[in-house]
Amino acid sequence: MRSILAVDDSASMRQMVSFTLRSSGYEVIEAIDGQDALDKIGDRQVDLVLTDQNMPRMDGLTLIRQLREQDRFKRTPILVLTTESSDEMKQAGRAAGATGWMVKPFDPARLLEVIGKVLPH
Amino acid sequence: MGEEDQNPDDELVSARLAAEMQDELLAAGTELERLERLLSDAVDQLLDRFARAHTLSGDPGLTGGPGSAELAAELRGAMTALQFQDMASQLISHARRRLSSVADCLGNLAVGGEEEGCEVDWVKRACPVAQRAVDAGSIELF
Repeated sequence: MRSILAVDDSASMRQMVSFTLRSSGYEVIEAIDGQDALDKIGDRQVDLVLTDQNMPRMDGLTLIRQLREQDRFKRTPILVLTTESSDEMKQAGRAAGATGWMVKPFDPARLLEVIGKVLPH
Repeated sequence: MGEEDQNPDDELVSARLAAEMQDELLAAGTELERLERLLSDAVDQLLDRFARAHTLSGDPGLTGGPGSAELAAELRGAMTALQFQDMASQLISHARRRLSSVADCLGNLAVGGEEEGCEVDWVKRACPVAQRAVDAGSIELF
């Protein structure tokens, strides 16, 4: 089963993302912010990371930079799912190592389609 | 007449007015906090019922299967709409920080501390939520 790390400080968003992913057969690891995400994954590998940007303690871009510093996450797809829609933020996300940028709210079918597209076969 | 010649009574009235305005702004912040909790509670209940309805409908999935395309489309639409709370919560938080920042500033003025300046950085910060409707957002792959 493919595993996805879903990071968002909003409990309702985590619930909706997890519901969407689990109903399509993915294993979901939930985290409430970047720091919690790093703590939860520990030494394990995940197939994809889906993260919010604005979160307490550690934001999404900092999380991406920290993950990209580790060899095991060099090629892992990382999608940002956020309310932030400015070009400046998107460019910052790209520079940090994000694979893609999705602006909330998400459409479940489109989210699954994008995940299917970026996940390595 | 220079500022140093201002009538002490006028200064007192200004300070009292600043203090009253600060109280009002803090009260507005508290009301926004209550609104945020109400929205959060409502969405929790809606999500629970959504999940139950999804199960009762025979788990048609969110991408549609044979004979369930319409139901799947409705579920997807509901899932997108339910995300209003995340955006509303961020907007409310931002508004509360703005109010708090201005209230602190007024409090400073009320005690005659205007020379120290005001911390109004939050007022100048752009709100992270630009959306005006709960339509699915854009997707960009790099």
